Amino acid sequence: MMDEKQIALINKAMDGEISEDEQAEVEELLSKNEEARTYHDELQKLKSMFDEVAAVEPPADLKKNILNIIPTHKYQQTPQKGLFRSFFENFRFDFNFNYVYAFAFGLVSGIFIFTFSNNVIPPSTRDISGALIGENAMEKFSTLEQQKFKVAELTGTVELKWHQNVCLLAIELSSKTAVDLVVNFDDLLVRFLGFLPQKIEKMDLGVTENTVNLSHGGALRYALLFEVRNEPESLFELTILSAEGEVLFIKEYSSPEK
Amino acid sequence: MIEPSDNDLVKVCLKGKIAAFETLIERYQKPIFNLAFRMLNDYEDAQDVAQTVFVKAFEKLATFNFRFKFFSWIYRIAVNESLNVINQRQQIEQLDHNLNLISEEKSPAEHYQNRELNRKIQMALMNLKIDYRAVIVLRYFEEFSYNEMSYILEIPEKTVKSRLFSARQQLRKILLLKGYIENDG
Repeated sequence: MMDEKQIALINKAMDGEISEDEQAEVEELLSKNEEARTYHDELQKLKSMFDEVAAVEPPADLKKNILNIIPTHKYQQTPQKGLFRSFFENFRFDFNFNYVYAFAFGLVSGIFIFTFSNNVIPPSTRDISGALIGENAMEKFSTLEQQKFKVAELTGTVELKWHQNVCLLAIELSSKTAVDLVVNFDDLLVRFLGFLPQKIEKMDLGVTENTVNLSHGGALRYALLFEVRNEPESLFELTILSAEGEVLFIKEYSSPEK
Repeated sequence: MIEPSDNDLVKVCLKGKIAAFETLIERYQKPIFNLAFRMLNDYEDAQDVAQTVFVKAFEKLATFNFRFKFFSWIYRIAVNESLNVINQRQQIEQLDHNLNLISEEKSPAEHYQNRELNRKIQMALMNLKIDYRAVIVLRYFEEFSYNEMSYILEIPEKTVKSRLFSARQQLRKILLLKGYIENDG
């Protein structure tokens, strides 16, 4: 006879979600228990049936039909209007006491944060903020790794530098066509601190909680700064894409402890 | 040239380059269609669901969280859409014989055997509760882990495990009863 625990264990084994100890337990059970062996064989046959069955071919025009329906213009970027023109065009003021409360709340919160922030910012971060300005302070960063690459019409160097809990990605690129840089990271472990322009001709920077996006063409040199928390194994992934979406360079960076 | 990852394609698409979404359709149209077909047992309905899934994915693309895998996300939409169709139409599911649409070139004997196998599997699936059918399809056809199934079905991993266990027991019983798998004991 098999008990429920043994049945569950065999099922777990069938799903491949089993530890080494449990695997040994299953093997022992199968060698000693006839009923368990039969049950295991049945489940194995069941799995084989699914493995053998061929996929059904979708209609040949499925992709075409989808592309006919989707609103293809949805994410197409339109040229931006001047900042203030857009602001004034859209601005409509309807007096509401809620605005007053929100403003007052924001003001009080701001004063509160400003008052206590000096006690909250870790000393290392304050140290780095000051370091960004002077060339001497940049020397505090030690280079962990450097990649030089040349793909199609793109040449460049990427350096990972480190100081205390801050890492710096120094990027020097030269490209005849437009390229996009994407840095992905886990916002629980890594925080984007800022952007250090050293020589800028044309730059389009977009930042979300877990990505930094840059679009540019020409020859550029700049640095991205990140605060690192909790000593993560993986810091971030840098991808450089062509305008057509082809990956020209991809690299995952790890913290020096690993 | 390195193949762009799904997440890279999503980012490019969000910048207005529709060609990136075309690549995502090419990658996932077949598995998404098959998932819908296995759930609904109807070729036309599966086609409608697959179309709707990609349209919804495109419309919601800006809300996609890059912490998750794109394919898990689109499967989640596909499962929900299939369940919607089942609920809306309240169809009496009966065996449909659209199974002459098997993809690979096979000899007549192999073709017949695969048709038979397909029919048996589909019959057994249609005899399962919808919740059970979903876990079996995700596990056996797509080989998703407990964790991925938990995300797709929006249920705790523990529930996935117990649901899969019950579904498998039921499926086994059906196949044994019909004599599709033999009981050696």
